[in-house]
Amino acid sequence: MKDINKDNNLPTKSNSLPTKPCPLTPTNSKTIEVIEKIEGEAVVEYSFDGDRVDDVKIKFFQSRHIEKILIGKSVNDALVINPRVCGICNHAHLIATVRAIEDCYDSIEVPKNAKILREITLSLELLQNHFKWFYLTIEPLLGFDVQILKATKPSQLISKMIAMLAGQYPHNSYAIPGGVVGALTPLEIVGFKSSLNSLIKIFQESLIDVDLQNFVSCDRIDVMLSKSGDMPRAMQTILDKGYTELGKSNDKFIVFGEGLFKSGKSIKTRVATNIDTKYVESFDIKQSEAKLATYKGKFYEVGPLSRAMLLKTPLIKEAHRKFQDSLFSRILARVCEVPRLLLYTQELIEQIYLNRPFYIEPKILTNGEGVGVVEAARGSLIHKVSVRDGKIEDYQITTPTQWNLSFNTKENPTPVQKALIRSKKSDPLELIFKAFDVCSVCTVK
Amino acid sequence: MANILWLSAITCNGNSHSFLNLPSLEEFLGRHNFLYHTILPSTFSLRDIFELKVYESIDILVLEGTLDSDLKKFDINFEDILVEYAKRAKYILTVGTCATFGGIFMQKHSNRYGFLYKNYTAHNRFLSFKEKSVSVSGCPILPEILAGVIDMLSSNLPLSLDEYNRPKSFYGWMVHNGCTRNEYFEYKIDNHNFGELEGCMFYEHGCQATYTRGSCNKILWNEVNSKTRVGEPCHGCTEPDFPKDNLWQTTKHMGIPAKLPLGVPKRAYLSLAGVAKAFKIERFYKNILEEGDS
Amino acid sequence: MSSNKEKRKLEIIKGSLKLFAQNGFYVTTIPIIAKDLGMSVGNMYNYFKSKEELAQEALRFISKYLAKDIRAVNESNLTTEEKIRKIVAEYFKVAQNDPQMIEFFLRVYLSNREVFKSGCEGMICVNEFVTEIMIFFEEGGSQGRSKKPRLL
Repeated sequence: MKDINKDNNLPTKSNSLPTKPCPLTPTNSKTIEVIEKIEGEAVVEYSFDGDRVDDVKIKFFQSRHIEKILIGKSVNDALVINPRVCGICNHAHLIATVRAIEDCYDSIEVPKNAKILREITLSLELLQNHFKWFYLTIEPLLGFDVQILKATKPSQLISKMIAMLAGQYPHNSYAIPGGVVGALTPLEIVGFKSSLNSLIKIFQESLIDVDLQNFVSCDRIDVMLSKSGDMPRAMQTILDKGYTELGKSNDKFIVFGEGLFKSGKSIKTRVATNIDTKYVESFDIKQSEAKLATYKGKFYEVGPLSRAMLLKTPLIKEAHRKFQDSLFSRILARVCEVPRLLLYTQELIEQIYLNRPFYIEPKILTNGEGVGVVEAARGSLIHKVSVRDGKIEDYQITTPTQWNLSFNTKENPTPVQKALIRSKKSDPLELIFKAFDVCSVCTVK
Repeated sequence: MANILWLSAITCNGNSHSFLNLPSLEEFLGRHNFLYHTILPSTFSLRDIFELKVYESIDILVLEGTLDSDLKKFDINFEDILVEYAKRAKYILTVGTCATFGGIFMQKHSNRYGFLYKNYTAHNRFLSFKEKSVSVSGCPILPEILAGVIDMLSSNLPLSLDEYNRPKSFYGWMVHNGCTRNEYFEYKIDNHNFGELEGCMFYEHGCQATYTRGSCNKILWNEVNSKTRVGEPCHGCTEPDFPKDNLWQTTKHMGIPAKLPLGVPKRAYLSLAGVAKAFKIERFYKNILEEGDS
Repeated sequence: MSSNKEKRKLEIIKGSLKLFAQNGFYVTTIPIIAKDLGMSVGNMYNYFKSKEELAQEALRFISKYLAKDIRAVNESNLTTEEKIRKIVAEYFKVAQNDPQMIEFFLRVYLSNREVFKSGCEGMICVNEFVTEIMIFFEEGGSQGRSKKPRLL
């Protein structure tokens, strides 16, 4: 382990670059890559067998111990602490928290208005993630210039729409056991609808110029590719570069959240819907700050591709038929969630009735155990809480990245391990990796 | 134009993302240059940063996240890198409550702290940099505040700081200022219920806005709203002791809130409350949008 | 207002307090108070427009008078127990030396609420007194030494 020489004169001009060797100089059989700008950073250690990836280990720099921090706090404090697990999917953590707390009650009434609002703000967060991921993460890896504003303009508008309903974004805690903190007026409803129309327009002008309704029932890749927009351009590039064989994983999918999505698991296209979070286990990985999640001891992929497989989204079914669970299907599935989420949000806002309650005060929670599940942008997020005397006795968070991007043995690989193993040194390994979308800040213990 | 280097310690990235919500981001990026940012494309890679390959002058060093004496990136101690760039930077901004005071991730960890403070206590590790440091606290920060401070510093405008190094232009106000529920506070209407447009969360539901410094209700979040406006109590996220315990309930002694508006003596508060409570003003007990007679 | 007028007003309040306390609010008329103080009825009205106003002023006077003593106790370094003893002692001292203060409270303020309805809403005329009592309880409460009284 090398330390920085503090007395080293720092270079101030470009012609005096330091000559200190990098402490992570790759060896012949091993290389260590640091993947950055993925909500933190991850260290990926590749072992090569000749030209091919033989095994992969993924590690993270930091650990935050949020679960340990929660213990002993008043149960509702988790509503404030938990969004701070993650800057980009903070709202998913809030909704998972409130659901876990509500699940501790034998019975609790949550008004429909509140349930709908939570679905809306959660869907908006997914949309925000998808735009940022496509433009800031995927496009540059396909050789395009980064179009920052194409990521930030929709994500700013989406944040504003969440703020209209929930006060602010990121890091609000407007969902509380029994409903939401406030109520709406017609002003928010009309403002929201107008912004939603602007967002749909942004989607059509940037990602793909289609009618939303028609597009969600489209089942032809060539039709999608014939449209104008950055999405068909990206998908065409993947085809042109011959990446359709890359990133193939275990072909096992799982979805725990409901709402727009359907819960269940799918092995290739064979779907089973009776799943239960009690079979979810998460393990510490010795060499990493991350954890590893399994269902009945097996690895599954979570996220947009899994959701599309369970929903049998026509275009993704077609992509899967042609290219299986390659990065092509994975990337397409994520972008194709955008029009679905837009339509879903449009339907939901019509179901808010201003003269009906937004909150029903529940009785005080003293003891209980509960599970809260949501579909976050990157996949299923599960919170489990035990409450004793009104305080948090235990808290466990299982994040999407723990399903997709942890590591195990090469004989029994996790989804990302499987996707990378047997890839060539010259393949776009970072693209394969980032097609899953890592969230390092979420994942760590 | 300022060269900005953004370093992250232990963080949720919330400040990085909140910054992307800056309404004038396009203009900001035209004016300033990121040598490194956690999300946006940057001049240097993180490895370059940790191998000290940055030769440009550094105008603003942004630090996000809680410091941890054991934190390493690339097997290099994070604080060693931080000190190297802190020496060279013209100004250092601690962005967010974690970097400023330690924040959430400091709890239950003895080896964690903010850059200059550990809660209310100043520590000496980086004391020599205090003169050129500015605290931009908040969980997360309002993007307008961060951009405002960077613009003020790069145009050499004077920055008046409070006792925790926070710029008074943004932290001279209470979060309470500008809250649309203020009338319920002024007239001591203490029957707030969640799920309503009306009422003030100070009396029962733990709102800390009257003793928390910040511009949440002045600048507003995402240009449109704030937590307290929608009915969520202010949790005091800009303050050194964020997060306190029991955030949804007002601690009271004999029915009187234990913490009163900043600087207001108990005697003054109770006298005012006594007068205000003497009158039952009908309007405050009605729903704003109720049908019929108003 | 000149300090002479203030002084005279105070004398009227103190004089009326005794009479109100002895005979009750309704029996004690302005002419009786004027006579007792050696003033003309017309001159009395230069100071107070009505008997209600006079009674309300008297109430404020008592509230301030009692508050002053309790505030001194509140601001002292005594323990909660010592403070309780001191406040009770002060109360008995007032009851002995100026019984009209206590009598007025019980016989007029608490019995003839209609007199105070307009002008002394809620506790605004006894605000100083109530504030000091609340501070006393609150400080005891924050040290865990007093339990919430039912009336507050």
